[in-house]
Parts: sequence; structure tokens; C-alpha cells
Amino acid sequence: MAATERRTSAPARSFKRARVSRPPAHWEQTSIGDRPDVPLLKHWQKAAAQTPSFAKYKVEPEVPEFSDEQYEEHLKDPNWTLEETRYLIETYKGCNGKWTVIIDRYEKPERTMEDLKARFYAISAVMLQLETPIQSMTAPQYKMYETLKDFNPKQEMSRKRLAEGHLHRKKDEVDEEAVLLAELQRIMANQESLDSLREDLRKRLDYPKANTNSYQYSTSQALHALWQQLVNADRLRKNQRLRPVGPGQSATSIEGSTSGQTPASARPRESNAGTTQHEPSPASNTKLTEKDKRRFGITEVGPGEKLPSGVSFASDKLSKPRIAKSTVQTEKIAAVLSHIGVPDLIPLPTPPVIEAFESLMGKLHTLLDMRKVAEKEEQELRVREAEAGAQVKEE
Amino acid sequence: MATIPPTQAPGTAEYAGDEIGALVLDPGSHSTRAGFAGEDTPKSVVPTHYGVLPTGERLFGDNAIHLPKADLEIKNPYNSDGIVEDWETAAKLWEYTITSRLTGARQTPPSKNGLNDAKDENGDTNMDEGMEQLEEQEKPLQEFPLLMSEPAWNPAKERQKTIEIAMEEWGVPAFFLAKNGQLAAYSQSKATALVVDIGALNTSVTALWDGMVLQKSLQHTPLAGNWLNDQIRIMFANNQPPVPLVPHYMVKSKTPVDANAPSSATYVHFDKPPTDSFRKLEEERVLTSFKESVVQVWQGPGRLDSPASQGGVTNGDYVKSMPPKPFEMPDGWNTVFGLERFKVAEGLFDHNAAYTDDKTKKPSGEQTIISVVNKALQAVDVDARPVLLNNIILTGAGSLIDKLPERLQADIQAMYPNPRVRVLANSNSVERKYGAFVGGSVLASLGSFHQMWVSKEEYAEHGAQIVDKRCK
Repeated sequence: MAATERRTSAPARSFKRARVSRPPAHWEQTSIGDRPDVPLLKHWQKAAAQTPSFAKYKVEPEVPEFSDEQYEEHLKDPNWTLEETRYLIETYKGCNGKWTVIIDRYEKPERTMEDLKARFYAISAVMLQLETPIQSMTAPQYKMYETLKDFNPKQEMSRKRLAEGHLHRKKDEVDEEAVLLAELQRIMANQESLDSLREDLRKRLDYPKANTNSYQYSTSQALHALWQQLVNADRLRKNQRLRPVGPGQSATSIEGSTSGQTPASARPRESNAGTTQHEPSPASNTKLTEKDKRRFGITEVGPGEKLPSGVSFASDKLSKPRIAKSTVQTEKIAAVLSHIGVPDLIPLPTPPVIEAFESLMGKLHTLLDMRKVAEKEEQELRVREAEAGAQVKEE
Repeated sequence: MATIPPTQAPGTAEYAGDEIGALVLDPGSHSTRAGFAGEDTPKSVVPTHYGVLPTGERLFGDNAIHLPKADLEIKNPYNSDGIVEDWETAAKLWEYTITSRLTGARQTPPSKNGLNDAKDENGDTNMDEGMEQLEEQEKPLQEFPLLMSEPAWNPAKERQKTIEIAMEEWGVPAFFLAKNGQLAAYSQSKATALVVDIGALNTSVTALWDGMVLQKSLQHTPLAGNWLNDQIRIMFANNQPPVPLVPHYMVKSKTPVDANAPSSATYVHFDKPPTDSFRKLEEERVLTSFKESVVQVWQGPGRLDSPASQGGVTNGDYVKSMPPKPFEMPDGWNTVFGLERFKVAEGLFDHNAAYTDDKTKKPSGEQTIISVVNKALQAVDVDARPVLLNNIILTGAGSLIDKLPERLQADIQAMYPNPRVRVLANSNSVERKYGAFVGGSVLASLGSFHQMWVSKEEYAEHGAQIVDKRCK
């Protein structure tokens, strides 16, 4: 019984649902937005639905408007005429306020984008102020006014110059940055494990934390903070540089170009060195300007000279001369050096530093030799005097 | 339109996709493409070359121009700069492209067909009045708004001529003219891009900022598809042994022969051989098939003749060690091409590597694709350059040479090592070939674009100059 009842009621229900869920649609012609002259749109339209309006897509940019009298009174500028000012406003309107396009379409000659911006912002500021006096401005309005007034074309120009220079950075420099970032990343990865080990150890030892910092990035925390800061800054950029960088390609040219005395910061570590088997790009290891050579500390070997075999570190040149054959002599050298204010450890053994140090050491050795001679003479003199004294006594 | 953020998609009802039924026409110097807005490929693609019979009759379409006939001259309405020269033919050709496949003949409405008119005592209807009204009716595109593409360097006179033809000869109700590069960028849904369009006669570079073309950036160079065909032709002539260039129509039958062996084909005998221009067109087809199947660009880094590693090995030497590709001519003659298949395309990037003969001069260093791109970049604001470098769109049928996007990327990156360079080349060859059409199809079917049409009324009011004001 129940089955038959269900069967009879089912079609009735579905019929009802069909009628409710599909409101009738009709073929309709509508005009587009506020353009009655363009052909009509033809489409099926549901009875209840509203025709979409395209008028909202017609957005005009806001521009300052002024009369000729207002121009005479407030907006005069010796570099600008009324016509050109009006032309600027028109162009701004035509380009929807996009300065890249405006400077491209601006046909009156000899204006930089900064000139145009400065003029436009100045006019906007003046008109804003005329419309609402500063006293009665709302906060956002005043902020806008401030921004408009504070535009500094000179600063903007110098920023553009820097941006242009940045665009033409050389490959070496780009690579160096990549290498340094990779290095930092590697250090941080090691740091992480070291930190956890250290933390563990501290817990066991109940070690009190040191709070004094002599140097900004000397501790691991400070380094970590720097790393976090860099990573956060990087995350905002589209092409992230801080990622597991295969150091191969980027490290290549650095190694190729700085095989001599390398500053410690730019030298790839041993961990990277193994992967630098790539063909070095030809441009980077041949052409080095004087400036670059100075920067990387490269000295060229003359045709007659021979290099000592093997690897020597630049820092050796600063530490080895300090040690003489005898301990007494070494102590003397150390005393003289500390007296004239040369520290025990010189941080950056660049070629000029080494040169200066070597000349200093030369002088020092002369000094010590002189002293030796002087002492000898003095000694001899004393002996002679004693001999003379003895002779006098004998007589 | 521009202040709505480009990331914000309009509502479904606002697409108004097929509702206006616009046509898109993308004329080029090699082929003319047309179709309905909203479609992903042009329905009608007609070669721009046309045939002229001695009677003066013009023949359009693939079937007509590739049939060997005595006295059929092949011509092209474009000049060497890619601008229309022969307007009369161009207009006919464009009309043919649209009406032959897309719209067809219109039915006469019942009020005008004469069947329902009052008859006089002889049973004749008054035709004079009807004819006058019919005048209006005979224009072919009265129902369809038309979006057309144009080369970026199209002069103002030519643009006005275009709108004149569309409005007066075809009677379109609404019209718009957009630049090729702009449309190609829209097809990749980019509003800010540097478009490198390698066509048949010209390679053009267009910088686009928020959907607007930067006029000062517009550059073009003749180093494009046809130039590449010429390079192949010279390479064939200089090859050892010389490659015989025999087009298909001359061969009746062929039998396989060994590589470099003379062909043993039977040739068609013509009482009066077809004209030189016909032969040239057919030779170009062979060159094109060679270009499409064999030619490859050295993918970088560096040029083909620059050293690959220490020890004097150049990239070219490396290429020589790769297996060469065979190619068979229509008459059965065949050989393999190793280094040559790279060398013909090298001139696009390195002007010193171009083949020359007494007719073809070496291109200047400023004509290579890379220096044209650089010139375009120098003409835009410095803040815009990194953005453009990150959005380089490669399009045009000429760009379909193997590894060309990779080489472009490598060379531009070598020029600007610091900013990130990204060359976007659609891997779908149809989208690359018809980039401008697809972009136009997208644009003309957008509800928000309908504000921009130049309507018939506006044309009547302002005349042809309106195209300069509205279609910037």
C-alpha cells in the first residue's frame, strides 16, 4: 500500500519543483550602459534578474579644475603657460593618470616626468586648499595635501638615476650578491643546528645568558634576526633570491676572477668550491676594470716574476713577520707594534694594508738593527771606559 | 575602465560574451585572419597574396592562387614596410575573408523583397523605390560590429582609410582599431607587457602599460619570417653541392634517391610555364616548410660562434657534434643539414652572422631583435623597465622557430643581468600564430569593452579623424 501511495505523489512533487525553480526567461535587447548608438545586446534574460549595467566601467580620473581667473591668481609659474598647463591636465585625464603613459604621450618638448609631476601636484595642492581651507580639512584630506606639497622632484630624479644604475649592474656584482646570500643561508642553516645543540647544553649547565653586545651581529641571535629580516623582505619579492641556490653557476665567475688574494667575504667556502666545475662564462674572467681589481685585491704578476708555488693566505703576510727567531726579538717587535698602535689581529688584509704593514716592518727591522748596533757600541764604549779607568788606577 | 583593478573579474552576467556578435579581423602581410569575437581560433584564414588574371580579375584564397595557370600573376597589397599600399585590393580581400566563410549573403527582408508590394495593373511592382532602399541593404557587414588590428606604426592616413572602408563600404554599425601588440598581450591576459611580435615582413616591439600602448617604445625591424626565407634561399645556393629549389607544382612524380644524389623525378610539362611571381610564391612554400621542420636557433648562452668553454671550442662546434636533420625537396633530392640549420637563423640575433648575396645586404647592428628590444626599453620610463623585462611576450608565427624563446631570454638576460627577465611564449602554436586575433576576440566579447566602440553616429558626426582620438 505504502509503495503505491509514494508512486502517485512523486510525479506531482517533481512537477511542482520544476515550475518553481525555473522562472521564465525571455529574449531581450538592451543598450550598453549610456551608449544608445552602439548595437543592442541580445540575450535571454531571466524575468527577475536585472540587466547588467556596463556604465560603472566608465571611470574618469579626478583632475583639478580651475578657471582662468584662478590660474592668474594662484597658479602662475614662470616655466609654464596656461595652455601647457591645460594640456597637461588633458593628457593626465586621457591617460587615466598613469605617469608612464603620460610622459610617453606628452608631445610638448623638454619636460621630464618629474617636471610634470611637480606641476600637477602643485596645482592639485593649491586647488585642494582653495576648495577646503587647511583649518577645515579632514585627516585624509590633509594627509593628501601634505603628500602633494611634499613632492620633491630633485630627490625623485636622483632616485631615478640610482634605479637606472641598478638596472645596469654588472653580472659579477649580481653573482656576488647571489653568492653572498647563498653563503648567509648556509651559515644560517649551520647556525640552526648549532643553536639547538647549544641550547641543549645550556639547559644542562643552567648557563646564564649574556646580554652585552659589543657588535651588532656578533651573536647568533643577532645574526638570526638579520636572517629573518632578509627572509621577510625577500618573501615580498616576486623573484625570491633566498632559496636553495645551486651555487654552481653563480659562484663560478667569482672564483674565476678572484683567484689571487680574495677578500674573505667574497671567497666561496670549501663547501661551494666543489660544485664550481661549470665552464666559466668568458666575459667575467677576462675583463676587469681597474676599480674591480682594486676591489677584489688582484695584483697582476709581471712577465719576469715568478709566483711561489702553493697557496698562501694574505693574512699570513701580516702575522708571519711578527715572529722573529728568538723569543726576545719577538717580544721586542710586539712591544714596538703595540706602542705605535698596531693591533694584534688586522681584520682585512687588503693589498694596501699589506703594503703599509710591510713598509712598517721594514722600518721596524732597521730600527731594531740600529738599536743592536747602538747597544754594541755602548757596550764597547763601556768596556773601553772601564779599561781606561783601570789603566788610570794602575798608574 | 582602467581604474577597476585588473585582478577583479567581472560578474558572469557582465561578460556579455556572445551577445553583441562582433567580428574580429586581423589582417597581415602573409595571411588575413577573421572570425567571431569569443572564439579561440579564426574561422577564416586567407593568404594575403592574390592572383591577377590578364583580364584584371582578382582571385583570392588558397585554392585559387596555388593552382598553376599561365599568366596568373601573384601580388600582395602590402608594401615592404607592412603597410597597405593597394587599398582597393586590400578592401576586397578583407571583405572576401569575412564574407566567404563567416557571414554569407543576407536574406532580403520581407518588406523589401517585392513579394508583398502592391502590384499595378500589369502585375509589376514599382522597382525604382525598392532599388533605392536596397542600396542601404547591400552593404555586407551591416549587422556586425568590427574590431580590426593594425601594425603599431600604421600612419594616420592609413588608419582613417581603414575606418572609411569599414563604415562606408561595409556599413558596420560600430568599429574599433587596436594595435597588434596590444591584442597579443591581451590574449595572454597581460595588461603590462613588452610584446615581441615576429611576423612575415616585420618584427615589431610594443611596450604596453596598463593596457595602453607606449607610443615612443614602438620599434620594428625587417628581420622576420620572410627575411629568414631569404637567408635559407642564399644558404641553399651557397651550399656544397647547391640545393635545387623545385616547387611542388613542377613535379609530377618522384622516386626515392640517396642523399645528395640527383633527383629522378618526372616533371610536369607546361605549354606556357606559370609566371615568375607564381614560381616565387611556390618556392616560398618549400622554404617555409624547411623553416618549420629543420631550422633551429642556438638556444644560448652566447652566440653561435662564441666560445663554449676553454680550448677554442665554440658553440658552433658543439652543434656540429649533434645529429644533423634530413630534408627532402619536392623532387626527391635530399641531404642532411647540421650547422647550416642553425646558421640561417643566427642573423636574427647577430647581424654579422647573416648570409649575404648581391641582392641581400647585411643587416645593421641596430636591426637585430635584441637591439630593437633594447631601443624600445630605453624609450620608456626607468621605473617601468624591470616590470616590462619581467613580462616579455613572444608572439607571431615567425617566433615558432625551435628554441627561439630560450635564445631571446638568454640574450636579453645577458644584456640586463640584474633584473629578472622572463619571456612568455605560449607553448600552443595556434595561440602564438593567431595571438593578435585571440586577443581581439577576447577584447571584443567583453562587456566592459563595449563602451569603447566607435559607433556609426559618431563617425557620421566627427568623420574619419575620430579614429585618432578614440583608438589610441
